[in-house]
Amino acid sequence: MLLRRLLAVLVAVGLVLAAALIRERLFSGDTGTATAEQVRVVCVEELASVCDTLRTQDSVDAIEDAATTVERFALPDPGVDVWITFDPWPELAAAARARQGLPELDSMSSDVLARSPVLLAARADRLAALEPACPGGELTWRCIGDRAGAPWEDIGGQAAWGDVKVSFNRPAVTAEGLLTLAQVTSGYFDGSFTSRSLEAPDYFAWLSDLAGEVGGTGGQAPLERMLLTGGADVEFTGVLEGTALPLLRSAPQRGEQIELRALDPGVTADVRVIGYGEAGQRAVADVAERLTAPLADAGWRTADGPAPSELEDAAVPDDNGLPSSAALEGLRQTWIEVARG
Amino acid sequence: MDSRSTARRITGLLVAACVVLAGCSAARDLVTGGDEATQDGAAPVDPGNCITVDMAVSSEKIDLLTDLAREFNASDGATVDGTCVFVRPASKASGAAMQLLADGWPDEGVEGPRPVIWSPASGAWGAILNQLRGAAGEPDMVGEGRPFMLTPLVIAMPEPMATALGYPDTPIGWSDILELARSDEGWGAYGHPEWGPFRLGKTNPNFSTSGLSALIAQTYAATGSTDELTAEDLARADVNRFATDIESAVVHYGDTTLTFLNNLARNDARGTALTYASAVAVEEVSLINYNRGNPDGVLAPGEELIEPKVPLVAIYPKEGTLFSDNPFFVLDADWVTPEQKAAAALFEDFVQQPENQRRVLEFGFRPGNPQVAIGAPITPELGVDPEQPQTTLDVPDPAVLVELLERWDTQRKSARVLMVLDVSGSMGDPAGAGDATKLELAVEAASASLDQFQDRDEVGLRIFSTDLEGPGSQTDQLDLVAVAPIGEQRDQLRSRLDGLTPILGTPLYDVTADSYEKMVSEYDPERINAVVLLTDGRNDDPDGSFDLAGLLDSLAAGSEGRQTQPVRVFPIAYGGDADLATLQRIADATNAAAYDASDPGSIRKVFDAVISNF
Repeated sequence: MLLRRLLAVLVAVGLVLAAALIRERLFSGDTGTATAEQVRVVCVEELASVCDTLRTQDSVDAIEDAATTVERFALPDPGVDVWITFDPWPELAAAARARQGLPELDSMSSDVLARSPVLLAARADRLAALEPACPGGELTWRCIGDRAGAPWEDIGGQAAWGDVKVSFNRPAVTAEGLLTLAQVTSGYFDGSFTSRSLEAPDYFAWLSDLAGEVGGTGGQAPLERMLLTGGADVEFTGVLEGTALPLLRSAPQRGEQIELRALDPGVTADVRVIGYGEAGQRAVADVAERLTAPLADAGWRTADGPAPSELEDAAVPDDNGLPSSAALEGLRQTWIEVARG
Repeated sequence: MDSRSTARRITGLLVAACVVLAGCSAARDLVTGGDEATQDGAAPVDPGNCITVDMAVSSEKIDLLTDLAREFNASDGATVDGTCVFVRPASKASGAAMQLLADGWPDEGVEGPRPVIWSPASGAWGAILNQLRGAAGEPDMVGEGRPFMLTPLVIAMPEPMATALGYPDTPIGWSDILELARSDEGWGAYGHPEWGPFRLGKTNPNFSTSGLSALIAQTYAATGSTDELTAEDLARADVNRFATDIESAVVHYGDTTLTFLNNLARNDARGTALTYASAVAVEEVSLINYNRGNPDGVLAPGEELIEPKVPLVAIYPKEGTLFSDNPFFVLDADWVTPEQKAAAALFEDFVQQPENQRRVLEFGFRPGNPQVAIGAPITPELGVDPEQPQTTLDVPDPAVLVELLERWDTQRKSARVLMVLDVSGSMGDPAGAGDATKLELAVEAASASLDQFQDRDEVGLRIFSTDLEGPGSQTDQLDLVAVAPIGEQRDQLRSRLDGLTPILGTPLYDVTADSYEKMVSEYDPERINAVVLLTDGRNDDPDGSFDLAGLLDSLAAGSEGRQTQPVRVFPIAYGGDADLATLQRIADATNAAAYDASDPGSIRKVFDAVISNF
């Protein structure tokens, strides 16, 4: 008994010392000296729960949506030393900076730490009703988009369900929303797209109609709203596997009604840590190392880890399936335009 | 109308009215025995050395949040940087709090401390606040609030009536309500002529969130859409006709759904539940409380739950409905410090914890944290369906809301009201610390309330006291202004009110009976027929024809059964000597509500609340 207590004390002391050491490394740039240099870590909001594991050492300054961080880079000092984000947002930030005539920042990127496919999250009963109504019985975003706002009664569903309800997670602002919209658009063009593709009148008209039918969710992520209100607000939305799985696992009973499905063409959110400036670049490896295990635990696909058991068969493409960063920014601007209209 | 005046208009309508709700809590207390939390004297006391987080919360969750705050304050987690946190919730009607925030919460002495967290019944109030501030050049004060708990608006129907419409297999909605309202046969069209005409209970949308939600929902139903209601939609003739026909079935309006539920419970007890109201637009939580045997949602010490003989069932309108989402807004206000924001975030996390969200469920609300499954009491056994609603509706833009309310003023069922004022000697007593007498304050309030009637409403004025025409005259009442369209005689009513002076005794029973009989004899089926009876005393009429039992028998006999000509008597108990209990029984006998103005200073707010029934 006494030995166990002693061991427990030793383990606790060891953990405290290790934490202090890591913190000092993070804040002082691995020099081993206790300088006052502090790195400012910004984390994309889809990784909030993962980044919270860094918070135990007070090293995360902000968890925010991707668009907000890009806006920071349009300032001379963006106030970011380390950015935990997805491809290709660092390129979008660099482009925003260039548009302001600001000098490029010295930066260093980690390898891709983890990946997460964009998935369709749908009410299972609605999915079962819609799929046979799609051309060839194949469920695609094009099929969902074509039927958004249509009465369920007209497409083989129950009259009590009302209209087909589709929502996206604020594509103009969040990475999850824009990545979903990229998948939707890739699906429309049967493959990747360019900035020029977005100017096609039929696509613009189709997207405008879709935007007119996409419902708001009062600031909540659509999947969370789907869990809260059943199918009353949202029946179909796009999610990142890595954000959806923790949410569904935490709400097993409400989550029973929701089905995740991988649609073609595949698009992924690839996680990277980017360091800016000397201090930031020195911190990249340490932050990346500390994030890898929490990412895997949360349901993100890491190089060494297995696919989440819920979606083992969901195909993940070799690349992220995204267009150029310019085309992605063009898509964001197009969405802003049609959503306003 | 510019955006500023538009915003002012909506807050004028919604908010000023919601202020009244607070003033009318006394009416609820008349029935319920008062708010449990208040009776406990459990208002938390600031220990003085903590970071204080004041909360303004809508009344339906004050008990729950007071309990949760008490637990949080005593927990180890209630610290920010080593300083303790003290959360202090206070009840404040959503609209009233919104207007106070828009005005910068000017008087803490009167209105209570400025809140750090604001939790109205619906997030829509936050949008209106931001719009008001934006119109005044001020930045937003609230962001996207996280729902603390949810409850949808439903159409509550006695189960046999819902079954007659096809419940639970057939989707039912506002279009079915419309069909019933338009039918000359009433329930006879559904094989139940014994139930009489279809009668709808709906609160006044200028006063009540439920009433506003119902108005929005029925308007969407009329347009056939679920979002982006426009001014053009409202101008459509068919939409206008839809609204007018729905309103034609309304029993009366009012400031709170509790009036309907209490009256339903009382009718249920005497076996007449199916003849008071066929349907009432309420929040789901209210229906659950009703079926649990607690129609007002407040369980006073010693009060027993009495389950209704005829339960209500929730109709989730097939055209869609709205949720009340009870968001937590941590305010971006200049009086909120970073420490208070940090402390508020701790409390918000605390209430979202699954064990605390399970308590939300116990109160009949749907948890705001999806980790907590929806379960009892949100079950079919209590008349509700956790799988519903299937479609929610967007809250229209504020400008459209304003127009919606303005149009409702012309669409609502018109009223035929006899105002009966006590001018007995005691009305000449001082009303309080000031110079004004009770009569003077009552006259001022009654006069102001006349503006709330539409020109097409018919209003008359009667006064009562013993010996009105001199000693020994035996005249207990005088009709000063005959009941007629108020548009033609508003000034005359005001003039006669201004000339009133206190006389002698209080022939309450005889005058009540006579006023009721007069309105029954002149009954107009196209209108809400009512008597507003203001009195400051007890029956004081040795020569009177009625005792209380006789009066109540007379009123009840005229108010029961499907063929009745319902005339509602809405008494106002004015001043500390008024006979609250008796007036409540008079209201009960006619399926109306009594209002407590025992503090004469509240008479204006109370008058506003009474007039909200029309």
